[in-house]
Amino acid sequence: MSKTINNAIRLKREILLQTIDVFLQDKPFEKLEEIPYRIIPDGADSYRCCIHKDRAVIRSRILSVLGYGFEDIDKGPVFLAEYAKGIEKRKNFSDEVVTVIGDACSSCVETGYSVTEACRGCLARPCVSSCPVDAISFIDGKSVIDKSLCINCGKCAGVCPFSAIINKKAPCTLSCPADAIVKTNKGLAEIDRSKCINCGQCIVSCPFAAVVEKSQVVDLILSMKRGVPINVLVAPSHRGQFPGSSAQLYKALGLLGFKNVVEISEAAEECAKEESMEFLEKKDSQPFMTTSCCPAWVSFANKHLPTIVDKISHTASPMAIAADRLKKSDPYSLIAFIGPCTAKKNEAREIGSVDFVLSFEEVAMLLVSKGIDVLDLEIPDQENLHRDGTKFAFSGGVTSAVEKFIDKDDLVAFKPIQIDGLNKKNKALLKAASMNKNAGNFYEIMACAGGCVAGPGTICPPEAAVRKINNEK
Amino acid sequence: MKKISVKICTGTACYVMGGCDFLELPSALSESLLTKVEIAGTNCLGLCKEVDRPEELKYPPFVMINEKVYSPSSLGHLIELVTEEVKLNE
Repeated sequence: MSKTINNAIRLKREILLQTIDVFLQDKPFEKLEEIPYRIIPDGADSYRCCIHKDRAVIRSRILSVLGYGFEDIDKGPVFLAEYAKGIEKRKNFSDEVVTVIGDACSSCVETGYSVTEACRGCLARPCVSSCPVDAISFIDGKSVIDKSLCINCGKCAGVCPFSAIINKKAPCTLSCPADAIVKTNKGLAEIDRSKCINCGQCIVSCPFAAVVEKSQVVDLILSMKRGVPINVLVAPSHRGQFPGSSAQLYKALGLLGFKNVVEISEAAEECAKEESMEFLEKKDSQPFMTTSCCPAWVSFANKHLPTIVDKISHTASPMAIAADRLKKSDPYSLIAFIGPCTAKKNEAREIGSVDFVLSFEEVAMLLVSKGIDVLDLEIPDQENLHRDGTKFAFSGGVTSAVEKFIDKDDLVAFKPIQIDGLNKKNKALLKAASMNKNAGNFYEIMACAGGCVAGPGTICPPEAAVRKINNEK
Repeated sequence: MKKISVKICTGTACYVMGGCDFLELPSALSESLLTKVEIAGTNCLGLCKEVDRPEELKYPPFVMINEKVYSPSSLGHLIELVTEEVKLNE
């Protein structure tokens, strides 16, 4: 799913900006309480039942910017300033990256099986006889499902000769490739952590913006304020996400206070090279190999397709390669990664060398808060562009980068398959592959359809981003 | 007939608040409309720094259509505004 600007996204970014302002501009933490009132002033139109609920939801959003999930906050009257003070005491970030704002979730209760207008009220009434819990009755000549009894087994939908019974799903459950979203009996979305792969599809799909990620942006600001040196790794997909050229962006990041800016595409190129060697080494001994750069895919394999795990390339991801090198050359600085990905937060925790993971959206708001106009910056000499590495940003790019490192003679044996997004069809393909019914021997797998340029933390439309990557000199 | 000028602000704030979506305007407009407008991304127009802005222009992104400032909420909204302006001009 690609995201385009709408009211929900604008509101979310405005809250992010105003929250960042408080920390970046050294305002007292108490100022956080003003944000809901500034965004929804007295007399404003409300999005929900009333402006008070709107403000309550904004307050919850502020908490997610402060890095809190709704599992770990007190339900009692605690001031935002208290939460802000708690950030300094935070030891490490939680694995549970994605979280649901209960107040914002519209509890799309109208989910599950229901009878549509197409019901003819037929004589046979197979829906009634097929229902194992007697949840279906006839009212005014039409079939009606009693929601309090229905167990969502779907038998009625299968037998209706008019296909009049449909299974309605909430956008979050529909978008989740891991079936990790469960609805409580009140209809609220809840994340099943044993299944969640932190891909962030639910964040993108919810029209109420009720699913959010726990941010690390304030932690980063506070570390910078304490004078901790922080180097920054920039994902290849940054092109198009900010105005101006890459060189201007790197300069802007320097002005934000990062010590050194490292573009990951060089490491990505290395990753492609290593993956090509690994492929050649393994092509005769194992039926296929998959890419390893997408952390949501790796998590999906571990949680949902364990038999495929040993086929995932052992080559480290571009982020891990770049972080490792940076740690060796500058061991006393922290490392931040900026990218479009929610799942990278989990990868960062696992590899241990990356201290903060920020989205493009968050970095953009840091720039706005500091008043840095990227387009106005003088362009330093353009550095060498690692064109093959930049291709890691979109689907098909990894394959073409790996392909380049394979000799002509070996190329006949290279049979790539692209898994562009973990949709039903692609999941079936992967399942078949895991049972050795594979169509190719090199699977490029991206959890987001379109690749990283379509990730949940992006700003700009994926097509525009791809255009910019291909046009950069 | 004089073309309608559409200036899309690409200062950092406008760009990240939706300006980069607006830059897709040329591919979103119908061909007949496209011949009547002149679309350009510009450096920061400085509108976010003006203090006395009316309520509807409280937040970026800003777009100038024939010297009049708007803050469209989506690409669809911008298309509506441009279409209206073209009609007025005819």
